[in-house]
Amino acid sequence: MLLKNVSYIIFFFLFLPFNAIAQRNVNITGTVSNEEEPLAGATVFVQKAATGVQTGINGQYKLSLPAGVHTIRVTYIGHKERLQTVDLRRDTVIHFQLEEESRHLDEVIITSKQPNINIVRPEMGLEKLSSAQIRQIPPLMGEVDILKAIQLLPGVQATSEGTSGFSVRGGSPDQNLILFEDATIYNASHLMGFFSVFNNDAVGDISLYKGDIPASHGGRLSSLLDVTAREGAPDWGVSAGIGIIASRLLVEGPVLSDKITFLLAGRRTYADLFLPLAANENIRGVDIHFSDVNAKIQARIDAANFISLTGYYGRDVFKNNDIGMNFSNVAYTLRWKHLFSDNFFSHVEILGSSYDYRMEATTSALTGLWDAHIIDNGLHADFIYSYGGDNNFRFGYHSVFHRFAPGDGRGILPDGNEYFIHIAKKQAWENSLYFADQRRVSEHLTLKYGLRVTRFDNIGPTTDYRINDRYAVTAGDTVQVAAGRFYNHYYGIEPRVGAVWTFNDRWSVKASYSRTEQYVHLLTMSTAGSPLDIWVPSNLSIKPETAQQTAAGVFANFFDNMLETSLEVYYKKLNHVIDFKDHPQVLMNDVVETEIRTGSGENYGIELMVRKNKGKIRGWVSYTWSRALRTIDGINDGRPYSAPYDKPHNINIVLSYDISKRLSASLNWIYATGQPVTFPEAYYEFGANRVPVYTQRNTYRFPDYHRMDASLTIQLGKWRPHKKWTQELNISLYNLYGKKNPWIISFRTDDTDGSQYARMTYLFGIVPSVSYNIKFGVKSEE
Amino acid sequence: MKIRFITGLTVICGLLGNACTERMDITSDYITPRLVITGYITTDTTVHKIYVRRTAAYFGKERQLTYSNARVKINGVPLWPAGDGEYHTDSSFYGVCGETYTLDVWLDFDEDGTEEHYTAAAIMPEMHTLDSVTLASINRGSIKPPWMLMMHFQDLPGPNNFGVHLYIHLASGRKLWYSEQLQQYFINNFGDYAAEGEYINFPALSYIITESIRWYNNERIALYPGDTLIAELNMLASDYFEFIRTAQLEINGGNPLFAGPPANMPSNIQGGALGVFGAYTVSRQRVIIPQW
Repeated sequence: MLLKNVSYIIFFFLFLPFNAIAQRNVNITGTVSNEEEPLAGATVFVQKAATGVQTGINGQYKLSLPAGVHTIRVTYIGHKERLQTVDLRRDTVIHFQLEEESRHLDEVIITSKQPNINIVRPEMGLEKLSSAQIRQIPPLMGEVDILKAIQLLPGVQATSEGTSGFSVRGGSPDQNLILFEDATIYNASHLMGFFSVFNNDAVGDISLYKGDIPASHGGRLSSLLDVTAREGAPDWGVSAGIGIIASRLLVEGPVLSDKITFLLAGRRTYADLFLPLAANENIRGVDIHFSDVNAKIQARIDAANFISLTGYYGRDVFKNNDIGMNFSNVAYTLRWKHLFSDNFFSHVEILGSSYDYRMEATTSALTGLWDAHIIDNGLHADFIYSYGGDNNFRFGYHSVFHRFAPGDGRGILPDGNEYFIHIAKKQAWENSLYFADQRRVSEHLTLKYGLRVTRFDNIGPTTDYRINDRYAVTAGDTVQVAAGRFYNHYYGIEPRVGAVWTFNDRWSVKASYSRTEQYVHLLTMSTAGSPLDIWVPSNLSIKPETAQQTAAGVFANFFDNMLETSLEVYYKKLNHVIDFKDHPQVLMNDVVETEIRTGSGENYGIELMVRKNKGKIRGWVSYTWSRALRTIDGINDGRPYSAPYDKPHNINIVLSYDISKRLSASLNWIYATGQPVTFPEAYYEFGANRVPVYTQRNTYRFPDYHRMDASLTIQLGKWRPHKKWTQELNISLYNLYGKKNPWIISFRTDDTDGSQYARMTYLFGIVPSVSYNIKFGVKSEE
Repeated sequence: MKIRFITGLTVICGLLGNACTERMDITSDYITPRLVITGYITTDTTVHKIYVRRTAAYFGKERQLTYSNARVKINGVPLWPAGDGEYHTDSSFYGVCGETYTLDVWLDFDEDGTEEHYTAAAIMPEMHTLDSVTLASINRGSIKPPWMLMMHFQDLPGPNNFGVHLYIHLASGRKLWYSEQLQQYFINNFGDYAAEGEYINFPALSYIITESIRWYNNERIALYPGDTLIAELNMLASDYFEFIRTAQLEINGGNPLFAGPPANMPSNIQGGALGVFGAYTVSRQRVIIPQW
């Protein structure tokens, strides 16, 4: 098998470009879009030539046809079919714009390539959402949030009340690879997690792979969240939104010609502008805000070459008179798409990202500054060859250079002396080769298989440590590494296999197996979400975490694909998973390895989903039963215990209803078993203090979580199908019935009788919000 | 700093919604009672106490049962039972720096007719003498409160497990042990701030001295010029320092933003009992609150 796969790679590398040159057809390229956005998965079909293609993520297509007159049919679900006759004499560019059958219908279409794509595709645990779909989910504080929408999918749960952090199939948040245009986002949240870094106006497709991660990606155990940036339209457009906590603005259009387009979008919260008016003087001195900017410019050089540059910058600020903290995310991707032939193309990307945070305190008695960051820079080269139908072969090389600065502190003492805290910087280089083949073996059977091979190197200069059996560092175990020296490495072999057996176009069964490895790890002390988390690489004492997931499922569609149903079962075995010892010291600890314990884990569960895609009432209902257990020496006396995100029962109901062409309503309800927690069972006194005594870790749970949100969206002005200006008003109620879901549970002593009691802090009662959105766009004509 | 960070989060939550705190009912299983032995010795010449009790249910009003029938010795010298599970040394007792102190307790805790033996050891650290205490205004260029309590002393080679207790003697005659609650007690190992043997000038960050400071049960204590602040510099034995550090994390259920999962505190009592036997040095200085 290995030799066969190697021969495939050699074949495609050596012969495909020449094969492309040998063909002398006329090329026709372009995009398919509606008046709002590019359409991925639209069908461009030429009847006479009996050939066709489906558009890519950004709506682009390319066909090779014999010169002559052809009638091209363009179709996309929820849109009117378009027929256009063209006389092809040379390479030609044609952009198609489809008219929506119903303005509202489009807003719930999942970006499926075909109506029963969920039946025939071999991937399992793949969830796709469009930005239009996300807009229909009731927002918190008027801010539409991708990551909160993700949390409504089966197998996905919020890590904490109100936050955008998420756990997939019981995994920890750092086991999710979050990509924006292929650049890694290390902290995807604003305002301590209440909002995500993704501006829904500026994103295109969102794909979540729950464990069955394609071989083209790796480095995380639980999931891949692949977020693409929306491309600027060839016609000028402006959209803006005003909410009660933030406003946003987006501008897009052509640059010089329609071959170059751009998109620029920004957001900023402004609640801080009103804080000086607060009655409490402590709050008057507080500044809390976030802002972010998305920018993308793309150019069509010729029929075979496309270049795009995407950038993201987001910053959070929190400060008062004495102390300040800010953190920021930066990401960039320079992408070159090249079409070698009709069915062989490449993506080459130079990309990078950084996340940094800084804390500072300024008083005359003590001045201090704490700075930490992680920076990635890398190169991706991906090649895709389509060889008939849905068959395709992908291969590529990914290289990322990681730089970690866990913390640098400096300060001035009252006597004027300076002090310094320096935690050794770390560097690592992650190189991966992969291939993935998807082929239809027979009428009923489609296979996908691939392999990802990674080498992860630790590189000096740094100070590293060998931890002994007692989790301590002795003098001889400290390793001083010179600059540029490759002093430690790991190999990862990650096979990915899957198959789908389609009984007919409405029923199928699927199975998959995947192995993943994780080389960077998040050390978080927070059970409530904190930006002060520390990322560390695998090194002499921290081995890569590994996971092997086996899954199987049954998929069925009913009523002409109006109703999609699925049942998936999975079992995941984890090794070298990380947890902390009791009472760890993570912040400002230069030997943080001594605070870590590693062991094994098991995650398993069943996910049921029913989704309705058409009609006035749309949405989905899902139920998940799952467990996530860890067994780690030194924790819980070595006995299995619930992982922090072990929540066995989860129900999500997400519905929207078109009351009229101008009025739509949405409602969602979430139920989840309370998160595991360790409560004290006994106490003893020490002086004037009560010291708690625990038995086992995570044997108790928070009260079960449930919440209902609702929203009403009103199209303002007279409704017309293609008017240039559109305005809408969104009124939403978060936590409609005011459930007090605990965020923190702490303990206090009753002053009157000396008894001990629990006290919960909850973040949200009923939260109403209003946002106003306006959009201006010019409908382009061919 | 943590408190202010939490305040910041509360502000955010207040902005975003209507964050609130309220009492809730929790039922936890009551584990089998365990023996608890606690106590410490210092370099002060005074009665030193050892407590022998057992755990009680965390929620509710249950009080700890005490044991007055144990045999308790420190370095072979018996302590006498003072009732309510307390065992006292002679009033002339004091700890000597560098000495190892061994606590032995015999008690038939499991009521099988045979005494079990529990033991622990603590080494009295080297004395760090506090030269002086000063007040430094937090506001740059000001001499007015709020102040930080500045400690000035010579570091000695060896472990740096420092603690600072604060006592307040009001001009009215009222005397407070401000840091009696563990969460008020300032500890720091200074490891990142001072090299071995340096002269240390450092603020005890737990003590922000304002015109009115909050004390136990949220009582506000008004301070006036002429009131006396007494700082007590302690050097703690390693096991005892770790016990205090973890106790500060665990009391009140931990801090969800900075603490890891809750866990039992370490015990240096051999034989299966919970608790701690500690030792620390004592050096005091005072500062009078000036006119402002």
